[in-house]
Amino acid sequence: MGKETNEEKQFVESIDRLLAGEKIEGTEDISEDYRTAINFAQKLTELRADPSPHFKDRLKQQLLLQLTRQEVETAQKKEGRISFWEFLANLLPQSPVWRTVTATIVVALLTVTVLWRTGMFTESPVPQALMVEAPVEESLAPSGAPKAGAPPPAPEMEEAVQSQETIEKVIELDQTQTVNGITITLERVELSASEARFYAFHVPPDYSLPQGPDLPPPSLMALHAHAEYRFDGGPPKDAGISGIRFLDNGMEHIWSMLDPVPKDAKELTFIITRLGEWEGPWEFAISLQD
Amino acid sequence: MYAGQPWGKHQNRGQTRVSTVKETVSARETFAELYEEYMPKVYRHIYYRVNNTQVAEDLTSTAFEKALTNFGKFSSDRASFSTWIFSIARNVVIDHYRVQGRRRQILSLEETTEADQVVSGDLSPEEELLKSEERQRLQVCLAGLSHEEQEIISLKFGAELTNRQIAKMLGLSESNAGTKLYRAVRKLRDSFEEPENG
Repeated sequence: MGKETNEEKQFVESIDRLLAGEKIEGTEDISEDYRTAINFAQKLTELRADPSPHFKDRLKQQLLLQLTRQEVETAQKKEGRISFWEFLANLLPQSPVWRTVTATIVVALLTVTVLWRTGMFTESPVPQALMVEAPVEESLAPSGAPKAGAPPPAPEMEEAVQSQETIEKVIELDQTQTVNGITITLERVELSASEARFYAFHVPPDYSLPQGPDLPPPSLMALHAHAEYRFDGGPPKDAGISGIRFLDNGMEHIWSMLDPVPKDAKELTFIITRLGEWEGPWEFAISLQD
Repeated sequence: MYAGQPWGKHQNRGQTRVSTVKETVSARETFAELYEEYMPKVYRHIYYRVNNTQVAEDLTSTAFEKALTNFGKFSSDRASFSTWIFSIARNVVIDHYRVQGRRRQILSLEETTEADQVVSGDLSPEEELLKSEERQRLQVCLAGLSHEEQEIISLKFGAELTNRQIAKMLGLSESNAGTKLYRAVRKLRDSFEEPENG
């Protein structure tokens, strides 16, 4: 057993030497089995099939060509990426002074764009800037009443509206109505020659705003209110769907761009017909007399 | 401060071109060296397994093309390249037999084609004929070994791998690989020397 193991080791070493091109000399104490195995291994190396020189050269040329193609493709990709960054770098002026001026202008433009999109230049300032516009529903639009997001009235129409005498005042109300356990406060009405605007406040159950820049949950984002209004018991006009602002303590609903209130109107009735999935009505009577 | 930074277009592009050319030359030289060293071994290893010149050439080409696709990973590590290229060659042979539906691996002497007569310019026609007959007989005997024994013989005498490399490739211990090699050679010898195989 030990002799065979020793022969195995010797055999492995001899094979490696054989493959390295050395000649294996036999010794006196090796067995016949080992000697013939070594001789046969020698024959195995002699009988190995070598590739033909033609095939060897042809494959080499083919592979080198393939390698060249790969390198060209890689270089082209690198050049493409560098050219893009070079293009961006060349957009910058070379002078440090002009670079500073360019950077300042870019920052200023970005700031103005961001402020414009938050509505700072078009809305009255309101705490908690997060505002969600009411979705436009054409079928609910009152006849002749422009809606949020709708184009301004034609010049002749605008002239007709402004020619009427309208009430222009701000009425602080803070009227509260509770229907089906849902409480809504109509806080304020802004009446001007161009529009009527209503502000209501509501605290949904378990209301809280996420910290940081995250948006409120979808259930709150979809919590718009439907409303209508009328003057002196006349036919109701559709106020459409509220825009909403998320405040720390609750949600503010705003209806804007509604018809101006005629000067001779005595009473304005504002009715919130539905708030999200909750049915109303929450009805508020507003006296227009001083 | 921006002074001194290489913003210039031409400066950057020039540097890139130089390095690309260097990389290309270096890769070609390295590959050419590795090809000269390993191509005959890969071919012999594959030939042991398929016993057909045309198939051995096709599979050798396939193995090197596959290796070339990811050549950059191994150009600086010769030892890794050795193990890697023979792993590819081994898998190429396995795929070949899978595609062939593991059709017969034993080619009878009558089926051996003219293309399989490997000619060496150093031998006389008589010696060449004798060697060719011995090579064919060897292939018949090889086909009588187990799959693992065939692989060990081809990885040792074709690929010229060390026992450690063979052991790693076949999932054996190094000493076990040596034992199996010794037994496979003796088994092949006995088969080769039997009169009916002559």
